[in-house]
Amino acid sequence: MIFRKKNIARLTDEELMAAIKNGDQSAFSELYERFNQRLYYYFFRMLGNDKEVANDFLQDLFLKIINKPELFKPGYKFSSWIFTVAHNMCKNEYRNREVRKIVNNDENPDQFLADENSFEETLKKEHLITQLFAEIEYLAEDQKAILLLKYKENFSLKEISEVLELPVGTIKSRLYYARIELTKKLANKSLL
Amino acid sequence: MKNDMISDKELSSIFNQDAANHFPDEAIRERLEYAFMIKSSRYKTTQNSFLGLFAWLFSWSNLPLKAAMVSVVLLFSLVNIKNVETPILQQMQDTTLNTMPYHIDSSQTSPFFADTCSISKLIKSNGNKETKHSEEEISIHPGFVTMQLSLIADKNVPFSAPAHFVLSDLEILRKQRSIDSGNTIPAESPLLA
Repeated sequence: MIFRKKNIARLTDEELMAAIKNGDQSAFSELYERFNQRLYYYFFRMLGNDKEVANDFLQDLFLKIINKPELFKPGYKFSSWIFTVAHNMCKNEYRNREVRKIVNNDENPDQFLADENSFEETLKKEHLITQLFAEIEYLAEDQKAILLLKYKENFSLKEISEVLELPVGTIKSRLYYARIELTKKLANKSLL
Repeated sequence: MKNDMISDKELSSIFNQDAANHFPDEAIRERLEYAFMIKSSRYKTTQNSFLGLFAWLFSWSNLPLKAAMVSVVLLFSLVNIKNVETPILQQMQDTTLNTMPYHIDSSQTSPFFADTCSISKLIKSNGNKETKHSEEEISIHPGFVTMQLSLIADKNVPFSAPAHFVLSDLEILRKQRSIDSGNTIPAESPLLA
């Protein structure tokens, strides 16, 4: 066990999943540690910036891993697989509620509050971030996912195409138009 | 930031800066770990506690340590050589010369599933024992090897072959034409004298 505990942090995500299938709790904890914040943020931004919803979805996703770890097929890249599952959950949620109609555009003012000693520049940047994500909410579901996976997760276009199950060319064009649209909207608000 | 379009670098920076402010509820971790504990208790297969040890043992890590351990073992094995001066007496069992192997008839493996053979004229060579159904074991002493028969010797009565016998006996018997194809030992065998 001493060797196992020592090496658990060195295991790849795929090896951790194999250990989870065998009931290794430390492997599960390690995997949760690696992905909880990333997935939470993905859900948070994909599902209308709702913390409670993001927390619920994060929990549901890891419960899927606990209850059906065999869903992950060895040979796949785990990060791509887990974001595919997360994206499918988001799509289902979009279907269940017409999320784009009930999105609350009012950002929580606390979430971008800077430190007490922040400078004016920081405030300007945070205002830009606030406005940017407010505009992102109006983008199509796939465009939003592409932006998150590309700029937050640093996924390659090929990985994004696997997650979203779309051709690489489509990903490229949607990414391009998403950036154009964001730029236009932010320019209209004189933020660029 | 460029006026025409937001750059990739700028977008990455914005997303990462934004993400740094969002964390999931810590209670989720506890709930999930509890759920995992409940689930794992139902697993039929449990983790192999030796897996880590074996993984370490057969990996390339800590090679100097492993080499040192092997060296110590080798050192002990070399130091512990004992010079045995007394010659070891070992009986020759040259089966290469035994071109006609002693044939144990396994077709009659009864009783007790024992291989059987018969000694047709053994009793004659031993005098009055023909009618005497002695329960004593009959021992044949060809030279310095003993071939022990465990059942009563009687004419054409199968007896259980010894659990082990020395091939050199058989070699001697064969040379003396003492064993025929029927696995019998004739009375005139000098070995039975």
